[in-house]
Amino acid sequence: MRTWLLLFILAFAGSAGAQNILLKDGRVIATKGVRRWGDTIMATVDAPAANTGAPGRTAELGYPITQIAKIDFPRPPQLKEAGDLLAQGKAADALSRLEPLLKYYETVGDAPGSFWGETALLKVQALASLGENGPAETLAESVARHAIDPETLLGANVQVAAGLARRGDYERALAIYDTALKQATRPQTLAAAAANKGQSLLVRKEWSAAILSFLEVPVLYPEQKLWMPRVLLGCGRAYAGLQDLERAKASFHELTGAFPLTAEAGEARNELEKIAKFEKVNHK
Amino acid sequence: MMDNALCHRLPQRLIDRVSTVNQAKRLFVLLLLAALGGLTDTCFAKSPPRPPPPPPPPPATVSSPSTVAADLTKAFTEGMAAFQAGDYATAVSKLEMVLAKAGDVPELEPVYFTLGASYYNLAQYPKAIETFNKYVEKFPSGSRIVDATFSIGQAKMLLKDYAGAAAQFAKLENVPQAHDQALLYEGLAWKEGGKVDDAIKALEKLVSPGIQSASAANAGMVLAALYTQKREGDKGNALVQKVLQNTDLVDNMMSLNAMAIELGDNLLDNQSATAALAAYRSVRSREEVIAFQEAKVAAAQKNVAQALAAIRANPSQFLQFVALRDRLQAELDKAQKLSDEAKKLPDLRPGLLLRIGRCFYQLDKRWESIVAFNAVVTKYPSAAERETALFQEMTAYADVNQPKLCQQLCEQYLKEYPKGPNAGAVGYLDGAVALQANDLKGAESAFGSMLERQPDSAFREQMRFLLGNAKFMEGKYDEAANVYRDYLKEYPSGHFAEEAEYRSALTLVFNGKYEPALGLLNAYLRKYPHGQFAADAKYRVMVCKYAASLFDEIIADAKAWQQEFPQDQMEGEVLALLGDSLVGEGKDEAAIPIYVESEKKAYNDEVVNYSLFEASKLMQKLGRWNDVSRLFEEFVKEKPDSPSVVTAIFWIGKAKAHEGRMEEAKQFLVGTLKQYIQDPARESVEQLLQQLAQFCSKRPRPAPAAPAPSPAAVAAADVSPSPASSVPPTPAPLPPYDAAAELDKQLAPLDKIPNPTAKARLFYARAELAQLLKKPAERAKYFAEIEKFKPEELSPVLLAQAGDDLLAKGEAERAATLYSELRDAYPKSDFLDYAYVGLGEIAFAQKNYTRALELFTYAADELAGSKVKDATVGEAKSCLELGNYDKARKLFEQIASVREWRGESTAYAVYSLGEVEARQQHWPEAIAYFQRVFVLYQKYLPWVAKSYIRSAEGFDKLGKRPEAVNHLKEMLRNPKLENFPETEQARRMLQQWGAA
Repeated sequence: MRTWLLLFILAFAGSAGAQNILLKDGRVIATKGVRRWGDTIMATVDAPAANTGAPGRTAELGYPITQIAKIDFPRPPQLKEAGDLLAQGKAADALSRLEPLLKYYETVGDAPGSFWGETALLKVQALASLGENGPAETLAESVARHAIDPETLLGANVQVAAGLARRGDYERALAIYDTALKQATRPQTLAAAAANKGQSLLVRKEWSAAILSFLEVPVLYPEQKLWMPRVLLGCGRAYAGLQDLERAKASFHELTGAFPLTAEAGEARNELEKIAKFEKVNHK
Repeated sequence: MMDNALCHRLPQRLIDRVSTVNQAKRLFVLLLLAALGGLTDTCFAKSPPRPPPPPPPPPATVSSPSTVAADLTKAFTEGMAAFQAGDYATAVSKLEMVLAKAGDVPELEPVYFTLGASYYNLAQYPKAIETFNKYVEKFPSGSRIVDATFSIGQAKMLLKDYAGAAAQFAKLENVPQAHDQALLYEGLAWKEGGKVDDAIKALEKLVSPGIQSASAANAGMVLAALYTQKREGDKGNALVQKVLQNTDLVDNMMSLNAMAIELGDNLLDNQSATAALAAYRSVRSREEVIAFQEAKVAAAQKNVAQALAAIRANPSQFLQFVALRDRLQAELDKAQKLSDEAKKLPDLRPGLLLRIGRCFYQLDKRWESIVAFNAVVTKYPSAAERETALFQEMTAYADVNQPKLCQQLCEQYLKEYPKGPNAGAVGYLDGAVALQANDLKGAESAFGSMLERQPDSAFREQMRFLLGNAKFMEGKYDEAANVYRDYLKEYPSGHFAEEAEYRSALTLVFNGKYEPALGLLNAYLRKYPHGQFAADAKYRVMVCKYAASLFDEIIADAKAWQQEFPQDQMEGEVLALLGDSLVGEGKDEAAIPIYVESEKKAYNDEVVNYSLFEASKLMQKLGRWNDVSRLFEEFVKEKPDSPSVVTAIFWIGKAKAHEGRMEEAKQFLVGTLKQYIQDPARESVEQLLQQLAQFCSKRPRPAPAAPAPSPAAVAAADVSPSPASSVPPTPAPLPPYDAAAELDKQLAPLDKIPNPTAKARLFYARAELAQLLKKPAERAKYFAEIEKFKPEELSPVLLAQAGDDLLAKGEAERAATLYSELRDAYPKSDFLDYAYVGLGEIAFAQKNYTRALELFTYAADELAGSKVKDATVGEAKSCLELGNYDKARKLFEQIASVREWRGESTAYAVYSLGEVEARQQHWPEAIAYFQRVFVLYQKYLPWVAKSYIRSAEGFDKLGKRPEAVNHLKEMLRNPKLENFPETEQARRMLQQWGAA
């Protein structure tokens, strides 16, 4: 098992780069790989040769997580790829990118600097997109339980709140979104909270508030494209709720143009048909 | 700094060569060569141009027979040393001396160069140019030819000879090691010289292959600014993006940021908001800039450390590395300086967000702009940009027709920035938005408050006038009059003076003070005989006269008014008043056509209805039922969309029935229906069809009896009395009345219309008759026919009722199609809630409880139509299935308590309250509810049956098997429950428990 894990580590070390551990006392530990063992991070480091002329060795040194400021994992490109795939409605493809990454980071869990939390939350998003709400909520709750990084915890809570909203408990969900919007600093978390908050407000027919919440994504977090299909669909419906059909149509058209293969684009086409029927009936 | 001791060391083998003057010269040259041998870039000028060569080492101990040689050497050495020490004046004098005495020998190359550099560093640029030119002339293949050429260019730049400088740099374009810098400086020279096109040409040569060097990165930034100048913002933006992809080549992120912001501002000013947005998005945050500059410092420190390590590792190559080290140290100093500056940077975000907001505003994306402005307002409470952002946010809210939100921000602004630069406009906007939203109280309060708080506002006149209007619209006529009076006092020739005068008069009219009103109205008309309110004023004069019962005058005034203001919008009102005046004079007959004319010409529904029914009343009073019928028939023909149409049809029927002409009434209806039956959007058609069905449902009353004959006629008839004449004849029994046949007969002309909507509606008419005649099977038959039509062929009423019919029959898919059509095509229909409730039921049946809840909630809360009970029940059961027990309980309690909803839904609600408890394993509470059902709601057998089973299950869970058994046995004793599936279930349970 350990060999297997180390193989994984080394396999990704090639693509992810070597990880330095930055300790809180300022020391930097160059490693060949890391894994988590309880509350300790085990780092594989170079060790001096046993005898002169003998080949170099490696050793494992343990560092309590509490002493670690950050593990310098390079940001894996798969995160952006998965986000882009989700934005295009290709949740299954996104999952295939995320699964091996998640397995890799599970070895270190939510140690500072680890991308486990972010990866897991993307997986939650992918599962929800595929309609697998049960597994999505279970994973979100698991992330929330195991997160030590406050940002990861906030992000997980946002996904848990999305589950509450699906069950009609909008009050609690909105309270959680507001907390995340106040406390989070990561654009990923803020965009997720804003988009989900918009969705809950939309269901409650609070059109103006829903629009303003949705639009935080393109205005303040424009890189978070994975939320845009939902934002555009939600905004379109909210504009229609305000009887602003021109803006509603513009939003739906933007969605079908930019994200044509998403489920949201399909719904947008239905909405456009409804508007066309309404305008025809009302002799516009 | 150079290590002088190292510069001056002389190889020993050369010390011993001494001879004559020529030899001395030669010796000097050899010494020079020896000193230069093996050395590369070492000594640097204090600023561009490129560094001169290192000075040769002075002879340690040279004993030469020639004083000249010694002098030359000394002068050279001292000159070079002076240069090293930064004493350029001394270097000049010494090296000039060398040149004067050494003559023209090729080996004087470094002297010329160093002399040129000295002049340059002394800012004696003409001399520097002259000297470097000599270098170039004498040593065209010299080792410093590139540096010399470059330096000439730089000197010319400093002398503002930009064309000359550009030409110099151009000479180096094809020299590989100088290519980038040459193009960069050439571009800069042209730019400084105002030759933008030439500058662009040079810089484009450098950046077109890509941003591959620091010079290219710098050139990119300069070029982007030039593109902006030339209004080619897209090219500028693209270039900025390219530079940003190569930030490792950028030294100064702050410059790049400033350039991006400037680019964005220029683009925004030129209405290129999309490109401006891209430019602003490329600006790095303060944190990113600090991190960037710190990384540059770290990289520079690493480079210096590596150079020092190289020096330590290879002392023999010291001279090679020391120059490099010095350059790297200079870079480190520069990087450190930039890093320190970066830490003093203010937060760019508020300013950027404000700009981003403006971009969205310019793109007509008002909501997006609100988000950006709001971010400044809420997240940066101390930012200088906050006041502007707040003002722009409220303006955007006004643009998207959100008056309440706009007003909230107005109040916030005036609280936080009472003397802000936009306070006057905000005060006005607060009231104007309220007025627009018909919030009269809010408008009054806002304007009143602003007039006090901002006595010098530029909007004072408007606010004062609009304050009067707000009070007027609220019905506070006395106060409005005061405000108008104050306005006229302050602005006698103001923009709104005429209207203020007129409105002052109107306040008296509406206050019922007709006499003084008359005075003011006449005063207005005298002052503004052709004013914009003249027609209305003359009408109001008539109204005042009516109050004084001056009917004659009104009659004359009205006729004059019609001539003076033909086809004016107020004609309907004037005619109605004329009609009233005629009635006042007892001239009912004459009033009728006036009222009719008024009804036809009025724009206002109130006047239309008033005149219509006044005319009808008079006609009825005069017994002119025919005319009543005709009046309403014309009304229906001309205004088929009027809400009074159905009432009109009623009167037509009544009038014709009065005359015994029900047949005509029916035919009239059919005639009206013929016009509109094909249009599914006309919802009143179904009402008319219902009316027709009603007319047909009963045998019509016979025509009124013929009038009594005159006495002469009676006498004549009485001449030969017959036995039969003394007994009135028994009327023949009437045949049974076939209402359906009557309806069919009436619908025959409509049957010919091939339009599917018409055909579907005819089935509806027949279904309505069947309903009136209490024939449910017939009704069902006709609805089955309706359900064969396509959804788009059906009207909202038919979609709603057919949808329900299909759902009741279990045909959910078809029902969904009809409901969806109703929802999509008729979102303003009175029957819209049928769609949401129906779709909610379908979603519920499919166990899509979340969707069901959305639909039911919308129907209950937003539409609250005739289906509100079903919607509320749907909402409650959806919450139950979703596990939202608190909300489910609240809703079921509400359902059970509404008196108007008493019936099966009450039984269901009580049963469901039991389910709420049961699902949470609160069995005692659950059993209590279930028992209530079979005790109190025995009429509703399905719920009674279920309740017995659940009670038994509950008792069993509580370990009270005997009670459970008793309940089931009691259930089995009820014969009314015999055929329910729960009865069989009860038997099985008893068997299982061995209690059968």
